[in-house]
Amino acid sequence: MSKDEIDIQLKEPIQTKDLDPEFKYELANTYLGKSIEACFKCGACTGGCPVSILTEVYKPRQIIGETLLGMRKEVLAGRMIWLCATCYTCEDRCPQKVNVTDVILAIRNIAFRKGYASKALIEQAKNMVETGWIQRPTASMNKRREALGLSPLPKKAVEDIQKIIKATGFDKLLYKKEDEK
Amino acid sequence: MKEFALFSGCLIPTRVPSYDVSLRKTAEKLNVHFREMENTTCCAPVGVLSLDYLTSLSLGARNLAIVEEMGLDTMCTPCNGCFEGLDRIASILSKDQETLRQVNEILAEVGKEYKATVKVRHLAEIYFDDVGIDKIKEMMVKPLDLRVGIRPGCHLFRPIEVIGIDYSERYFFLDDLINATGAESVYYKHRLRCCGGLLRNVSETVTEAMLRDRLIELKEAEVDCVVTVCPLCFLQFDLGQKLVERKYKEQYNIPSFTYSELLGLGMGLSAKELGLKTHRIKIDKIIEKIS
Repeated sequence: MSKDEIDIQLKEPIQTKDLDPEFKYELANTYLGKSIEACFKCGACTGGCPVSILTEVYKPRQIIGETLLGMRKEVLAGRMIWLCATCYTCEDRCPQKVNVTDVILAIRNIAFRKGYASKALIEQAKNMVETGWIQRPTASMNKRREALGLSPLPKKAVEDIQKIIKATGFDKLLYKKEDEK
Repeated sequence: MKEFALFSGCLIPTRVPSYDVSLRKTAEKLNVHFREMENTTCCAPVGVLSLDYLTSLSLGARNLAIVEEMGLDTMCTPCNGCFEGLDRIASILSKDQETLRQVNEILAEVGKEYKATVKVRHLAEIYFDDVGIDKIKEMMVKPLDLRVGIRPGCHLFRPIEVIGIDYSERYFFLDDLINATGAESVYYKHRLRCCGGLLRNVSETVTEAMLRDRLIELKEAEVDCVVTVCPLCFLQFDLGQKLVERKYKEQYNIPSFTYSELLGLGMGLSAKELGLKTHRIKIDKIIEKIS
């Protein structure tokens, strides 16, 4: 007879050979990620996070902690980094002045290059580069504007966006086909 | 008063036309002069910054360069996303010569150069600093006897480092702006906590749970309405409220306004003139209460 009164899932221990100690330096070398090394993992970020209150799935301290530890693959391929609502409350509360949200944005930048970006953000970026608007304009939007005496939606500088994203290399990353990732 | 380059962003022109029309009609009365920016692009906010730092910076700088081309030094935006995004970009580029050079190399592709002279300000700051509380009080012709729950929108006051304030979680100028209209800004639980707007397309479950918590707190505080200066907050508390009501089979029925709309009502403009018929949550009970 089993003596497990409570159902327990055992975790696999983390092996040092699977860690990449360079990961944190890669982030510390970016503008958005530069504050990461000051973190002493107190957890004020998770404590004040409006998303963490609602779900176990999102914990900013865990993101920063795993990054400092070098769990590159887990952090980049995991979905946690995309659940930040970017309210910046964690940055407000961090006693070490770590820009927690910015560090998460820096990690997202790397994840995007590896092909792990949130589909919603990719879609939004495609709207932006193709129309100049973050959301595609529709005829009904113009109708509502006209009814209020507002001018039709102005033209956006789409050609300039195309040139800029070509110069930054964003176009190739954004339109990368699945098999190239 | 000096002239501002008006950058309305994406959400306000496309999805919150009542904010668009109200900010213009009230600006006329308040003697605030806007010059429309032309040939702009999306500001390249946090969603783009999440994917590529340099692209976000370059697109932002292109918009800022247009302000310089107009011969102006201050951009006014009524959108929190644009404000935080562009204020940060302007601040980075005014301090970091090397990044500015890198960005200008990219802007050369589109025949532009940014000289890092532009100051980015939120419309709410213009109301508070340039128009002033006294002027707003003076312009009110209709007493707004309303209990208001503020929704400043996170990016009006965070990140604190970018916005340049000490600590965000206390009484602040949006309360003064509300009180100046004769309405009362009610202190309620978690009033500065995020509404989850930016997670809507990533996780509807989280967004709606977050929004629901905010609605419960507002209901407990017995507010008459919500007032925000953020178009995304507005969409959350207007259209999003409907979605939460449907999903959780609950009734909140809390009308939402942008601050410019509230100002307009206090100045005696009609709901029709301010485009308030476009709101999803009916505002009739508010109009009744103030007339």
